[in-house]
Amino acid sequence: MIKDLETIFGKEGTSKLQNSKVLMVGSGGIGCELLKNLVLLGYKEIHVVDMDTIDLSNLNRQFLFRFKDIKNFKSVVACDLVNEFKFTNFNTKLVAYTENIMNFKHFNIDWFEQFDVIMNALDNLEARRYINKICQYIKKPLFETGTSGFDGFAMPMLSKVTECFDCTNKETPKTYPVCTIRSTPSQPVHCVVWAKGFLFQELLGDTHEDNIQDYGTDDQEEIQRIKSQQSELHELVLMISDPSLTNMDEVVEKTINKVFVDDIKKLLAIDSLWKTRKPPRVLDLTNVDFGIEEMDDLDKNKEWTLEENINHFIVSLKKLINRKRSNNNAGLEFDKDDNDALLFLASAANIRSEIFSITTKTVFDIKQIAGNIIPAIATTNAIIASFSTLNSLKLLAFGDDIQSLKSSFTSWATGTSNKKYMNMVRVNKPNPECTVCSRTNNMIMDLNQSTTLDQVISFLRDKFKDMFPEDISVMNLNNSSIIYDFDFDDLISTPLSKIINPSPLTADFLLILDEDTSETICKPIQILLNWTDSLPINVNTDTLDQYTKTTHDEQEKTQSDAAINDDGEIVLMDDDDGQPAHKKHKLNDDHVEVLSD
Amino acid sequence: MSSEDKVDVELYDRQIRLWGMSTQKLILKSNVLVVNINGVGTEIMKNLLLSGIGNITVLDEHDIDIDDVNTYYNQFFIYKSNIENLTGKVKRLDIAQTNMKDMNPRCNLTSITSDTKKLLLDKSFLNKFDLVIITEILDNEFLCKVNDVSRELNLPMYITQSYGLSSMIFVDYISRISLSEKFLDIKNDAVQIEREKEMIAKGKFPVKLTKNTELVSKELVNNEEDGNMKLVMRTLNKFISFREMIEKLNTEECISNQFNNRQLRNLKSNTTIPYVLNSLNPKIFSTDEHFNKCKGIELPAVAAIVGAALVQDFISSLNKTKLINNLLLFDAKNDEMPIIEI
Repeated sequence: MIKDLETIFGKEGTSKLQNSKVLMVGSGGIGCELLKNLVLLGYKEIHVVDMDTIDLSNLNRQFLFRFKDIKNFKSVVACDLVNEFKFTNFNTKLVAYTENIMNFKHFNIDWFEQFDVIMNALDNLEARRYINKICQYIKKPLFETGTSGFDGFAMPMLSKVTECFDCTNKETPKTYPVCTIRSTPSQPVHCVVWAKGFLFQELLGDTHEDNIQDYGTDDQEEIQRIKSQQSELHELVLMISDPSLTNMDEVVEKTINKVFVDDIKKLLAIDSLWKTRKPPRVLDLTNVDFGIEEMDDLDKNKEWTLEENINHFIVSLKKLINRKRSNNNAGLEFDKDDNDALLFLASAANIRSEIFSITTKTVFDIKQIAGNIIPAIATTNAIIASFSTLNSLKLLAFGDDIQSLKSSFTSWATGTSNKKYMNMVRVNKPNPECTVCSRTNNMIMDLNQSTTLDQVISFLRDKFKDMFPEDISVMNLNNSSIIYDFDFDDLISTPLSKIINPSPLTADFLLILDEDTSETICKPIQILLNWTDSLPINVNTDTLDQYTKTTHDEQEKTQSDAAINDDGEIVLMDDDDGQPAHKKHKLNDDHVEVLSD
Repeated sequence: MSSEDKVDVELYDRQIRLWGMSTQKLILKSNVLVVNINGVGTEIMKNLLLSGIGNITVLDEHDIDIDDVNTYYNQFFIYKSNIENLTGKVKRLDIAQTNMKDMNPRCNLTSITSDTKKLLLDKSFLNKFDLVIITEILDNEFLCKVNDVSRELNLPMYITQSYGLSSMIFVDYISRISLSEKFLDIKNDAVQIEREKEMIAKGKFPVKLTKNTELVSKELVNNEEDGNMKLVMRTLNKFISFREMIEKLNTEECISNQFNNRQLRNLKSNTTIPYVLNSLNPKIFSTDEHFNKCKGIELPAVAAIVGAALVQDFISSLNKTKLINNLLLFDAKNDEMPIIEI
């Protein structure tokens, strides 16, 4: 036993800690910090899941990795190194996994249920949503985290008790109208999106935009131009893929002529576009040397001249065409770390910027825009991982309720407060409108291969008595088909496993809907099917949530009242702007000054 | 571009995108002294090494006892494989320095394992550094003397002390100008832009912003291309010495004047942050047995937060943004992390 830990957590708290089993999802920036904390504090068992391998650009913050570890699995290298300093609890068991956490064959519901807490250290929305959903069924505490530059948050969550990850809308990547990208760009980002999503894809990739639904304009002439531009490009693609055309200079010259001269001339012919905008200039090709084969590496942190951009375009396009041809013309995929592709993209975007009188960008900047790179530093990750650790300590060692824990948001470093380094606020209640946690009854059902649909329904009726609706319909969520309702009971004595064809890779779900017309309605029951061989049929909950039309409205009203935190500050105004809650916490400086006095 | 520079940009890509190439170059040129590598010192070393700092000197004369895990349980630069053939007492830094070097082989790392107290009062020794970070020293009278010397040398200094779930960072940059830039949208912020223009025209500077901060200049920079304007404010920040801070905290009215009502309420009713102040100011808050037991404990996670906040503040000092002025308190038990201007 470590004296310091006992002093702080007491004997009982320390032993609770040394008996706790944690699932850590992700061992990157936040994950390395989290794993170090958990091991130094002597948690009993830590399972680390990460399918990523180590990259050079990780080494500025993911401190468990070294140059020699590049290309190896993060979870494995991280566990190997922390094994070297688990002094507090020599028996801490570390288990590393290199599969995708969303692979249900590998990580089924029984596997998830073994853990006391789940700690997320993820970098993507999809996996966060998945873990959040799993936690709605297993009803285990989830400690969610995220960082971006100086910005970061750590939030504790528990099904039905606190808000879940999906209770607030999350920002999705920005998209641009087709017409802005194809005919009227006005910002550098428009040209980057054009170079990456259109030019690179059409000429060298193999996914093509065929079915554009919304052009973002009603100008028929403009729409016609966008459509024919696409078919005209097809000729270029045929040239690029034809290995008998060995005169590369000619192929490149034709490409440049098409996209930077002819297409621009045709756009200029549409008068309506240039009444309020500055018209583009056609590229002057008089002094261009299409025979150029190599370029010296220029400084990627400096803006290049038009000539330098054109030369880079010529050289990188030649290299990419050769690569495509030598690989049986299989489409290339854009990768921000592929130097030829990056230079092609950057030079194309900058040439287009010159044509439309838009400021050009450095390759360094364009890489960030095109690669969706989020700045990341060691210090923010350390702070956020540690606030998450402290919350898990309070829950496990001090036995605090999850409601008494705080959500922590960076505030000093991001300029939202001059007096508080971190903004720590009470956790929010679940959003009653949330379709993931509030508007359904979520449960896990243990059943075996021979359990019939009738047995399932009878079991639920027996278990929940009056709470269970009289008149129901049952849906197989794997393919959204109705398998039972009041005038369709053909499948009632068939084993469920035969009806729904259990999927080997994902979880199987049933949905039971209340078809009664009474005022009190049972919320839809979503059942995660846990196929077992031995256990009797069972579910992991004792109640069913219901709502009546009136209480439903009242709940909405309560939600829209401003939440007040411990300091008497208003931290969350429900103004239906669809912003994520943690953005709303960030009141500007003026507000903070007024409110904290 | 030499090949060595190229690797640098790739390696530090994610942070250069945040603070720019010029700050990254200043990080590389910095020469920092870190005193003691217990829990917080270890975290500080990790963050400095990761950031790409050029020169670090570590001063630590503490021993660990291989046979007593309590003396090194919170270390992650000491590996089992380093100590499995050793017994008894060894210098903590002797073991850790190899693994520190391994984290960033390009950093010039110097280790000194004796004479901590003597060196910290030695002007010719301190003069070499751009920054001094002191951890794990709880003797406030001694710290006052060191701070007197560092002020004489115009040498920025951080002092951090830990008390289990509570912790504090004292920041002393003596006197410095910081820049703050705010982007204003010409369309949306027209009213504010007009108001700022008027104020700048009157030119009544310097203006006191807070007790220790004065506004030196204020200007609007036009950037028509992006449709926005930049409001640039230069402020002069005066930091108070460690000795002054303790003296001020020793007066009752300082507590009521310096903190707003809410903070004061928390300081008096909650339990942990007062403990931190208690060590600086024994007259006002009565001592507590549990607190005394926690004195000096550098708990993992708490140490990580303090170590990260400190290094982040130092990096901010390189690119002229605002700094903590001049006391950061952290109370993990009661979820408080205020910045207090004494």
